[in-house]
Amino acid sequence: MPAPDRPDLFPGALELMVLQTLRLGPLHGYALTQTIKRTSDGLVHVEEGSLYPALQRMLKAGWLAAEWGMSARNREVRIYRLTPAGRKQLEKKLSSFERLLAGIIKIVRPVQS
Amino acid sequence: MSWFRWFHRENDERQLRKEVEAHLAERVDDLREGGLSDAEARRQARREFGNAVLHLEDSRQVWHWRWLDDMRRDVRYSASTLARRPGFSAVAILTVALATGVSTALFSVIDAAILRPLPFPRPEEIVGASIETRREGFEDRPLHPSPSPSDMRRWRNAGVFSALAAWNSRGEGVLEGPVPERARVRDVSEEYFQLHGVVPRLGRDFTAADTIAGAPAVMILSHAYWQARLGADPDVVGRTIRYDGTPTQVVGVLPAGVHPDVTVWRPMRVDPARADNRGSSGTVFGRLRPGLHREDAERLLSSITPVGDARSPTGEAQRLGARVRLASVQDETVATYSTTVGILAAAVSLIVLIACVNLAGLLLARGATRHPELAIRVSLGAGRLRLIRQLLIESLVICLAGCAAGVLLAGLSLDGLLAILPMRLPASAVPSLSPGVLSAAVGLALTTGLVVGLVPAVRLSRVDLARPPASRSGLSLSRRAGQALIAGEVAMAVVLVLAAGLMIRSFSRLTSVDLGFDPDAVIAFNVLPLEREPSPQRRYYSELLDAIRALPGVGAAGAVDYFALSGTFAGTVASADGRTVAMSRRQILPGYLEAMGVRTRQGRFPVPADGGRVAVLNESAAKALFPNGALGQQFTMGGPFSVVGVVADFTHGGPSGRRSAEAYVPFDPAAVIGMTAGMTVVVRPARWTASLGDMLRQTAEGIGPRVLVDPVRPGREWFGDRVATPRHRTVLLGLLGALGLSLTLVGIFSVTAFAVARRTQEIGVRMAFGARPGAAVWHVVRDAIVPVGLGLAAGLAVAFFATRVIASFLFETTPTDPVTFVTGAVMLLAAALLAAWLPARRAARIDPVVALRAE
Repeated sequence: MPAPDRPDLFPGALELMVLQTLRLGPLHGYALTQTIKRTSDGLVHVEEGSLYPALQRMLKAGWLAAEWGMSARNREVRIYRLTPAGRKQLEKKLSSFERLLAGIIKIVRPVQS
Repeated sequence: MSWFRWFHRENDERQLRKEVEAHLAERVDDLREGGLSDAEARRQARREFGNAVLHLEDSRQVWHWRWLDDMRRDVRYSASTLARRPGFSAVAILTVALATGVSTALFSVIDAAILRPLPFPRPEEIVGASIETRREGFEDRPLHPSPSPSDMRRWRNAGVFSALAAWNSRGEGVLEGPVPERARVRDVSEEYFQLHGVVPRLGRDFTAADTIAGAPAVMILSHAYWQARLGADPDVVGRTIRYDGTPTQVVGVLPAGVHPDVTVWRPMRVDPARADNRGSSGTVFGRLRPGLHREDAERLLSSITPVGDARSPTGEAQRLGARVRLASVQDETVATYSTTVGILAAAVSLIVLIACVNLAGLLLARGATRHPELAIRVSLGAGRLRLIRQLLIESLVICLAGCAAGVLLAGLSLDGLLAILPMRLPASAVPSLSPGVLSAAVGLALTTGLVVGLVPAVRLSRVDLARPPASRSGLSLSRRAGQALIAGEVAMAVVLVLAAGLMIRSFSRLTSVDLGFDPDAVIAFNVLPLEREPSPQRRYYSELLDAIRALPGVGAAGAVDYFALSGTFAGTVASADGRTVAMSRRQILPGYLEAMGVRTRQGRFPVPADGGRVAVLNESAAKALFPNGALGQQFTMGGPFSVVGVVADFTHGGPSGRRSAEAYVPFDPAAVIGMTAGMTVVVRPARWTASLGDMLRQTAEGIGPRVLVDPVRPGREWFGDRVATPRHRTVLLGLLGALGLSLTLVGIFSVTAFAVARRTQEIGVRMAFGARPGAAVWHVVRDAIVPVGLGLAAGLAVAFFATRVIASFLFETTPTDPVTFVTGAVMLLAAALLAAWLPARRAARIDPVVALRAE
């Protein structure tokens, strides 16, 4: 089966974005993609093909919880929220991400200047 | 992941689906608000979402139960695919059901007859013991006298057997329990039950004391009789019941299931004065001690067994030593069924093969119509293995559904099939759908599903997306492959049909044999007065015949001890003028020969006034005893007789019986030979009335106070008993032949129907260029006829050699009987043409315009 072309910059980026976005409040899947798109000024586009498997993974890991609710358009949707375990995971991921980012910037900047 | 979770998978999947749908709907709403039309919005949302099916699978894969899950989904998917094509599914499942049904029935017979024919512990230890001796000058004709009681005593002391026993079947006698009735009896020595590992349920086993001549009469009763007639009375031991006129004490009751056909077990009696005599002990069985080899035991026993017995006449040629032979009872029992079971197995295997070919053809043919569906699955990312698995699961689902239906079919028809089983199984080996048989049936279905499904699955999974679905040739059932399937099926069907045809022809020859009398012209029934003294018997029968002759509609009436259609006779010898002739003696009451419609050659029939010393001979007997004319001559047969008449020969024992020397002498109850069934009253009605049977029965019961009257049956039924085994063979092989033929016709039909569907466009082109509809039909039929012809030729060639295996079952019919071969071939060809023509007619209705537009 061909692996879908993932937009992740690095492994875990999608999870990081989802966790970070959900920290602001529970969202359903479609709203998640739209929020990420809006927040990144359209630079990051989350593919649904990666999003839903990722959501399932995180549900299974216990970082997220999900329940059925109503969307703004009054449609039945599954709404995901962060669990305490997810919050802890987010902190961990964020700090390692920041370290990684700092490293990358150090490597990339000299070439640019 | 827990099982609990897995059971909730369906729920998860539905949730995921719902979630994705909501996602799409939200997106569509957004896009519409952005100014797209409804349709455009929908299309874009789908495009953005990408491969929805794959996402679902990816999301689900997270839960690790993918494999089991896919399996479950495949099974469900297969079931719904099959439900959507009820015609195809019905034919496929029915094909498997019929094949499984006959094989399951066969398995149950093999299970009973071959695998566990002897329901005793360690049956392999039980051997039949016999003595083989030869006489000087006759070395090529060994004698096999049954061992004498002294031989048995010596063998017991030799220590090779853990038990040694003898038994004799004594036919039937009258057991006068609550209701007098016939009961099968077996006389057995001590250790008989011990040898078979049977312990009486009530009372005791026989002991050596019971077997001494003059010991009190005792018996052990069967479980079935004790239950049905004695109300399972726990105090039955010690009771006395008359058996064949002798008050006999019940000393025991057997557990259920031991030789269920035998009701009365008596101790075999040994006269000490005749203990050395060989030839009267019946059958001798021993149970070898564990670990002892048969050959070693034979050598040891031979060394201690004397050459001759006390009776060996001094004048007789020198005996050349005695060898003791031990033969595995199990092997010998199985050997008696092996031919019939082998033939049945061969026929059933052919049917299973035909069914497999059918199924493969159906799967391939249907596959072509599924190309679009399979292509979509591939474009959605389904791998080839995934497709093969899906297709295999479909054929497995078909086979298991067919298996379930087939087992049901076998369960429903097993009793009927056993009734026409052309062999006698031991009464204790009852074929049934045991767990072993059922697992064999399921195993067969699974194997069939995998093996038959594999080739179509591999072929069909070779989906080439680049190729337009219209060019399907080569993908599924090619023209060649279809023709090969037809040829193979026809070849196998020919063998089955010809075997059935030969049996039918043989049976019709058997039943049209001229017996010398007309079985349809008589009715007959057995009557047995319980009073065994000669004079009341004589009185009873003569009164009975007088009363019967007085009934309206009776032409002639008489009675005989061994009825011509009973299959039994009393063999003796007759001598006159220094000649001795083997003779079958039949005691008659005047009127029997008239009732049978026998032609007189010389003299007259006996009359009541003749007294006891007159005889009528048949022509064979007259010629053998008195070459110069028999009438008025004297001969000796247990006593002196004078010949008053000679009658034409007629066949005894049914159509396959022999015409041999027969003497008809007046009924003499004192000189009866081994008769336990009573006399058979034979009536020739002047005209048939429905109530005649009832009247005869009432008359027979009304005369004597205590009498057993068997059902009154027309001569045709008695005749039917004599040809029961060949009839069963014929019906069974006929059924199997019909089954094989029908499956083959279904195969030809479906392959041709598929060919028409596949070649719609080609035929459309031909018709567009002016071909007539008739030519189009012929074009299709011709494609089927060529392989039918090839299959027919191959089948005839195989049958030419294969039908030899049923040669021993054929009556005056050679296994390559030309009439049968030609008739069978023509019939099969005609049926095959019809099966091809029916679907081919559709070709004539093809509209060229529609057909071409479909491209």
